[in-house]
Formats: sequence, C-alpha cells, structure tokens
Amino acid sequence: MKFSYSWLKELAKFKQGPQELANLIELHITEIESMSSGLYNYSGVVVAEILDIAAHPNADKLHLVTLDVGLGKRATVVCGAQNIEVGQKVPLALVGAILPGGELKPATIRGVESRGMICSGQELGIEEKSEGILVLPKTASVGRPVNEALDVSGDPILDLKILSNRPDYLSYVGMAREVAAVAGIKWSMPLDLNYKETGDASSKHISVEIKDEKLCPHYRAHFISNVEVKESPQWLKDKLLSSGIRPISNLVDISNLVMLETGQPVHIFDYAKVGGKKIVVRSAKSGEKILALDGVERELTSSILLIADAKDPIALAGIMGGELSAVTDLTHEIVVEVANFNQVTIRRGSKALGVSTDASLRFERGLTAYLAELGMRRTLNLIQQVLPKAVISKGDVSVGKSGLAVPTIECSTQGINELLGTKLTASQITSLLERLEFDVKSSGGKLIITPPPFRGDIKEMPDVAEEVLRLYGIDKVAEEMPVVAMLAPIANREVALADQLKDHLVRSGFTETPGHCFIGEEWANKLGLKVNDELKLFNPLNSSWTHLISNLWPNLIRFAPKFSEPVKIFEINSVFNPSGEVLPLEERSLSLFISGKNIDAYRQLRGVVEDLLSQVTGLKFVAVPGSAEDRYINVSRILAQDIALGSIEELSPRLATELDLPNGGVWAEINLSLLSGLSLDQQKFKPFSRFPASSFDLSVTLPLSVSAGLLVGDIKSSSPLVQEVIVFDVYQLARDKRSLGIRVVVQSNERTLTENEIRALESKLINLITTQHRGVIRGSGSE
Amino acid sequence: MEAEIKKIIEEARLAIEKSDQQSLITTAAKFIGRKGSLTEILKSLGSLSIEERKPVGELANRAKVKIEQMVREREAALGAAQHQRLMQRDTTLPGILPVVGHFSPITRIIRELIGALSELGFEVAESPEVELELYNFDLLNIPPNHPARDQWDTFWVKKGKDSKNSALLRTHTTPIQIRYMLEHKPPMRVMNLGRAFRYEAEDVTHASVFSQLDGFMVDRGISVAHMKSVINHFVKKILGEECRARFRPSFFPFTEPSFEVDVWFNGKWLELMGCGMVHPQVLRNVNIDPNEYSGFAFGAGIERLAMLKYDINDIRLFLSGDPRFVEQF
Repeated sequence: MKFSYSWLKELAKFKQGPQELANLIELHITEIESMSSGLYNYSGVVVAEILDIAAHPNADKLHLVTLDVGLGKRATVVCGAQNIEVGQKVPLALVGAILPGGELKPATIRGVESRGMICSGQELGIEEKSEGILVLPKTASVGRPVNEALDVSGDPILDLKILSNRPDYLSYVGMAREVAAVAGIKWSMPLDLNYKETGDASSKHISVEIKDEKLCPHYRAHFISNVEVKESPQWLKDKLLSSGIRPISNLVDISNLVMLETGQPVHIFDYAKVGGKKIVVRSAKSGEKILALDGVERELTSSILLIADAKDPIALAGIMGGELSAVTDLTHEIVVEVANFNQVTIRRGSKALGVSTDASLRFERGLTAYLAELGMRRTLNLIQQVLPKAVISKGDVSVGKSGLAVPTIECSTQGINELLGTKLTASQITSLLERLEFDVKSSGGKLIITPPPFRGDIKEMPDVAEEVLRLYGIDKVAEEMPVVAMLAPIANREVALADQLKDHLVRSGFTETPGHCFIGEEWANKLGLKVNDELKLFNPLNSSWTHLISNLWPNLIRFAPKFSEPVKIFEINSVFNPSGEVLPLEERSLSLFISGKNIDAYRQLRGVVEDLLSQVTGLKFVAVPGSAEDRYINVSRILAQDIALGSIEELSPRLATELDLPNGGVWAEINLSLLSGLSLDQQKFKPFSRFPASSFDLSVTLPLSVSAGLLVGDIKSSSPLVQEVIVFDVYQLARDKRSLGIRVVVQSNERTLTENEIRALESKLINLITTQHRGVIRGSGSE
Repeated sequence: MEAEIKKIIEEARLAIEKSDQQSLITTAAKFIGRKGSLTEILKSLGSLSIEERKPVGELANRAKVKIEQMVREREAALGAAQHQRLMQRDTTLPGILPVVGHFSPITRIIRELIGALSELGFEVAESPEVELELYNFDLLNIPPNHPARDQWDTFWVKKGKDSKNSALLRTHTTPIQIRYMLEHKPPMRVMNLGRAFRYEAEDVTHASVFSQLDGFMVDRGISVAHMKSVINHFVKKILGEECRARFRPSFFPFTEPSFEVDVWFNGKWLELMGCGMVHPQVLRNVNIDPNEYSGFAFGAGIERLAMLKYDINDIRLFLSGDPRFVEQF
C-alpha cells in the first residue's frame, strides 16, 4: 500500500525526515517496496514548445495552438487559456495520457479536432486552483516526460509491503501507530470520532438480519437523512489522490477515506433503493443475479455472500456494491454499512467472481470486528464535517459480536529470552510491548499478555517475542554460534553418485546443460513419443510445457543444435513416471548426447558409458535388433545385476535431419536411482607380470552379421594368456562385409612366452575366426 | 687403400653435414659403426703385411678419430641450432586449453552452498519435486484459503479430494522440514537443495523453474542469536568475508519470528533470503514439542545467489542450454 509521508507524519507526529522514516520502517516494521517523489506518475504528458497561436474558426475565446512535441513532430490543439505565448514551454497531455483526473480522450471542440490538452497545474494535480496553463522553465527539454521539468518536490510516497498476517498495515492509523511505537512517540487515536446525533433512532428506519454469523460475525447500519451528494472539498480529494484513488463524490470519497484511515471498508446505500427497509446478510441463491458497481451483471452461486434487501441482492458482501442501490446525485437518505465478514468467505467469493477490490483485499486478510465501530464513528464524523446539513440518526443498528475474544498469552521472561538469545528484563519487555498497546501483567514470575483488539495475529509466545524483538532492534541481538552434540553425517548415496558422475563427465569433455522438466505434445510427436496423460499438469504455463518428462534426453537433444561440434552435453535431474499413487514415481536420471562430424559418436558415447560404469558388477550391453522404419537405431540396453539401467540409442538419419542435426547424434539415458543401489566391484590392486608382453595384429574380414563384440569376447576367453583385445580399426567393405583390425596382447605370469607359443596362439585364434565366425584372415603379424 | 680412406672421409663429411639429429647416428654408423665402411677397412688390416699395416692403420685410425670428431661437431651444431630455433618460440601465444566440459553455474554454487553448511554439520537431505499439497502447504502452517498461499502460485499435477490426495510441483524446498522431522528426532541440522516451481510468467528475474536452498536446525535452546550467527557465516562464505547481513522483520507462515536477510554487497543492501524461528505449529505438526525444542530455518533462491556472485543479468539463462552461457562456467 502506498503511504504519503506527510499524512503519516500528521497522524504519528514524528520528527524524522523521509529517508530516516524509511529506514525505521524497513528495520522495524516492513519492507519498503519503493519510495517516490510523490509526483503523480503521468504517462503521455510531455514538454512541448508553442510554435504558433491562431484563432479558432468557430469560437472567439478559443485558440488553435501548434506545438513542437519533439522528434520533429508537431501537434495542434484547442486551448482556451489566456496566458499562452509563442515560445513558451508547456506541459502537453497527448490523447491517451493518464492524468490524475483520468485518461485523456480524443475530443473535437467546436468542430476542430484537438490532439491533446495543454495542462494547468491543477490538471496535473500539483496546484489546488490554477489560473491558466502551467508555464515550464525555458530550460525544459522538448519531448521529454513532464516530470523531469516540474520544479516541485512532491510529498514523498512510500510503497510498503503488507505482510499477510498484518491487515492493520492496510491503514494509515495502523501504520502510523507502528511508526509511533518504533520512534518512541506516545500514541493516541489521532482521528476525530465525534459527531452529534440529531435524528430519531436508526432502528426506526432500517432493520438488519444476519443469516449465518460465521460468515458475517458483525454488522452495523446507520440511517442518515438530508444528505446532498456533490463534489468533495479539496482537502478530501487531495488525500485520496495521494493514495492513487480517484475522487468521485462526497459520500463515496468519505467511505474511501475511512477505509484508508482505519482499514475498515465502508459501504453506503441509497436508502430509497433498499426494498422493505431491511438488510439481510445471506448466501446467494444459485442463479441469482446482481448488477455490480463496475457495470457487470454477474450470476451468483451459493458460495457468494450477499447483502440483500427484503427481496433482492443489493451488494456483494465485502467485495463490491450493487449498481442499483448505489448513491447517486438524487440521493437524499442513506444507510451506512460497516461490517465484518469471514475472511475465507470473502476470499473464496473474490476468487470465484474474479473480482478483487480494496475492500475484498482487506477482508480476506482477516479484519477484527473491533474495527467496525471505529469505522462507523469516523464515517459519521466525516459526514458531519463534509455535509453539515445531514441529519444523523441515533445509534447504530448493530447485530452480531462487536468484540473479539482476545486471547491472553502466558509466557516467561526466560522463555522469550531463550527464543531470541537476549537478556531482557521483565520490565524492558513490558515497556516495549506497551508501546504497541499490549496489556502486560506480571504474575508469579509469569507475564500475562493481552494483545490489543486490532491484533488478530498474536496467538502464542513466539508472536509476542517477535513484537519485542522488532521494537528492541534485531540488530541488537549478539550473534552466537550454537553449542551442539556431534553427529556422524549421513551421506546420501544418490546425491554423492550424481556429484561424482558430474565430475567425471566434465573431465571427459561434457558440458552440463540442465533444462526444465516439461514436455508438450508437439515436441513429443516430433520425437515419435507419446505423452502420458497421468503426468499432465492441470494448469500448464504454455502448450509446450504440458506434461512432466519421463526421460531427460528429449529436452537435452533440443539444446544440441546450438553447440559447435563435436557436441558433448549432459544433464542429471529428476524424471517422472506414473506410480498408481498420489505422487508419481520420481527418479534421478542421467542423459548424455554426442554429435559430430568425423567422430565415431556411437563408440565415443559407449566408451564414456563403459568408463562411468566401469565399477558396476556384471555390467552388460545388449544389442536390440532394429528395422528400417525406426526413429532410433542401434539400440543397446544397459543392464547390470538383472536390472535395466538404461540404453544407448542413435538417431535415424531422417530424424537427425528433422532435428537440425545433420551429422546425426547418439544419446544415452541411465537411471541413477537404480544405479546407486547396485553393488560395485571393489577396486583391488592386480599384481602385474614380471615377464614381457607380446602382441600380434589380425586383419579380419567378417560378414556384417557377425558382431565384433562376440568375436572379441571369444578371443578373450580363448586362452588365459590373452590379456587384452583392442579393435583398432573398423573398415566397411563393399556389400555386406567389413574388415576389423584386432590387436591381441598376450602375456604370462610365469615365463617369457616363446616365439613358438605366440605363433601357436595366433594360429588357434585364426582357426577360431575362420571356422566359428566365418571370417577371412587378410593378414597377421607382430610388431 | 689410402685413396679409399680419403674417399670415406670425404663421403662421411658430406653425409654428416646433411644429417639431422635423428639420422646422425645411422649416418655415423655407416662409416664407423659395427659394419661401417671404415670399420671394414680396420678389420681388413690383418690381411696386410706389417709394413703396409702400420701407415694404413695410422691413417685409418686418424680417419676414425676425424669422423668421430665431425659427428660430435655436427651434433653440437645441430644442438645449438635447435636451441636457437626453440628460443624463437613466441612465449606470448595463448595456451592450448585441455578439452574438458563445463559445469552448470547452478552445480557450482550448489557445491559452495553445501560446503559452507556441511562444515557446520548440516547434512544433505532431499524431498520430491512433485509433492503432496499437505506437505507443501498445510503442515507448513499455510492453510487452504489463506492469503499467504497467494505468494505461491502453483502448478498442479493432481487434484484429489483433500490435500493428502493432491499433488503439485513443490513451490519451495521447505517441505523437507516436514518430511525430515516426521522421520527423525532432534537434534538435527539439515539442508535441501533442489528445484522449485512457480506458476508465473517469466522475465529477467522470474523463472517458473528455479532452484532453492532450504536449511534448518532444531535442538534444545536454539535462538535468534544462533540463527544470525549461522546465516552470517553462510553469507560470508558464499559472497566473501567483507559481506555482512542485516535482518529485517517479515512474515512467513512457517516461521515466527520471521526475517528477511539483506546483504551489503557492492555498496548497497540486497535482499538475499528469508529466515526465522520454526513456527511452534509446524513443530507440533511433526510431533515435536515446541516447549522442549526450538529451531531456525532459512531459505534462499540459488539462481539469485549465482546471479549476484557471477553478475548474471537474466535468470532465464540458467536453463537456456545456450552454449554462450554454459561454456563460461
């Protein structure tokens, strides 16, 4: 809420300047969202220079004024002021400008279109009464916003954050009381609440019935006759304008002022329109309709609380008045309503109707019923001030509980000090709380604390401690490290694994590119995936973020085309799958992607996966046969200990091209939640042989149907002397054949292998390749 | 024979002059190696008469010494030339960087955050990103229809008959307090770092998917003084020793008293995080007696910390997958 510095000062009588006040508020009360000079935030009002003044063809007292509005543009407007001269710099509001009086509409004045309005100080809201237009200093820059050229220091406006437990901050009295307490100034109610009741009893004119006091705990009505609706006095208009509220008429302005001052919304009905001279507070009947003050007719449901007359709805309780019962220029008798409504009811109603007003904003934060009487007294006082002829009836018609059952809180000085880490005495605590109008009694070493009636938020000791601390000063609490028992930390295995893998991958040249966790149908369809409606969001932010993801790779691939080749990216994050329970199955996943020209992306990715998982016991890759239509080819499932951990898959060339990856790409996805539960091979030192190793190379031509993995495995298990089998070359031959270059490293732990032993092993392997794998040996030899 | 030796010396001179460092040894071996031409002559001396043997032998031995010397000279010359060449290296050329990848700045800052808190004995615990409404709101003292819920615009995943049967994308990492405290007994020091979600339009300072840190400590006699001390340690660890924190009154439904923490950073106060003493109702909700135990809790936006620390000006960059961004970290 926006607070005027001078208005707060008038109520709390502090000496601090605007900046000092802002500091006090920030450190003891609430956050300053912004602080401004207090000038109205005009839009579309610029500095313009008068170039030419001509007579209006159809009116003697009007002129046609042509102005330079900057950037080489000119505008011609109709102007009636007498103090204009060529060469003057003046504030020009262009059509569409926002002024304190509202938006400037296009106008044709006596047959000539006016493209704007040269403004007076009054029209800009900086003078009470103006004679003629405002002339700006010669130094003002043409075309610039007028604020820059106005030589008035406005009343500073502080926009304060309203904490959601403090509805009393939504009022000048509430905020001024806080400021006074913090500044150490004695506080007394600054509003004049006196008035004379000269009429007969209100109850002779109006009766009130509350159908359910849970929804409306308290309702006050007061009858007033002989009112005359007209413009408000300037002081009243100025107060409203400083809070950004547009003055309308005396009665409406008074109700708005009372709401600003006390926080209590007030509504005024035209008595003539209250059928049956009766007010009923009740829930709407389904299908009932009301034309609200904003001119919109709304159909209601039973969740909406209404103010009705004997028959029809006349207002949306706590939200907005009805158009038909509103005060007009013809109104002579009124009923003032000051009531308290249930905060949840108003909040639900406001949400259901999609209408939020200054009144509903206050009610839904939970006002105390105590405010109703204050609001009524101030309203009647102001009516008497502004409409001296009005006849105020005797007594409110008051229904329901006007007071709040104020809880008393019992706490000890020690308890408060222990929570705050302070050493305050009972009398220090008492005097701090008394500044906020708390009642504190000492009894048997305990403090019996009664919060003031406008504080519904104080319920237990920590609430009290917070008040003590705010006033004492949070900065005065000396820091102190806690003394605690040592605890052995519990390592989270999944978090540790994810962290290790990140290190490993970044060292291996991969870049971490985290994304969000949503997918939409369009992208899923492009990838040939189906979205699962069990993972659908109720309220997606946009059409491409409609479902939770079950894998990371679909979004990871999306980033790839932006990277220069070779692309090596990864992400570790959560993925979701339906579980049949309220919450989906949520697991941690790793996804990797490689793409690039002149690299064997598939083998590189497989190598990275082998390396990452090198310690997993019983790791296996199982090739899945594919077909010509597949979007994903060369699928290799990653398995260990009978658990499917994930897969490696290659984009089909067609899909890769569609995804803007002309050099193809390979992705892998590994379930880390499962992985972190697997047993790992213990890393053990392996004694190395004292005897030299030898190697020989085999160049083999194989039919494509024979897998290299199988051949390598067979060679490895052919003899205990085989230490290592390296495929150093793969060459695609014509038709359905390919050539492999295989290096076999042999070594014994017991002796140096003789030439004959090595040759014998070589022959054995050649035999194995030719007979069992239908291979043809193209050459062999040792280094 | 004499002429032959001279010819060998001549051949050797030419060959050695043409040799580089690699070929010099093989070149020398051609003449004075085990099978070298001069060695062959020396070997053949035995077949000569004593009169002939002596002058030719002397000649051949001198020739050997000469060739050895030429080899040494050539070696020295080549060495000097190589040294000269190496000295022409432009040492101001930029280095060739090793090919490694990049961590997301979120990972980097999360590691720092964990470091700063784990040295005070806080342990990492996690809670799900899709969370029960009950844990995200109700048990954190944010009742249905309370205006405080407006601060958390929510992505809903499942709307069931009550908050136990409704799932949402967690709006903060604070539900860890409920989940952890339901499972453990005090004393406890816990941090949760992870993603949170807000149903709101994105701009340079708002992202609908972002990361949060939530930490809390519960034990006997924990006070605001303890909280201030731990948070100040944390702030200095993350943003530098010269930083200091200031605490302002605020409101959160799950803490009482509640505070906003500002840091003095680059010459001004910046809002950094929220904190407060765990609300007694929250403790009761997880079966901990607020008369026996108290605690503090704090929460911070991780991207916001990273933005301050690394001068990042748009929160949307974090999940953009833009190489111009990620490759800087």
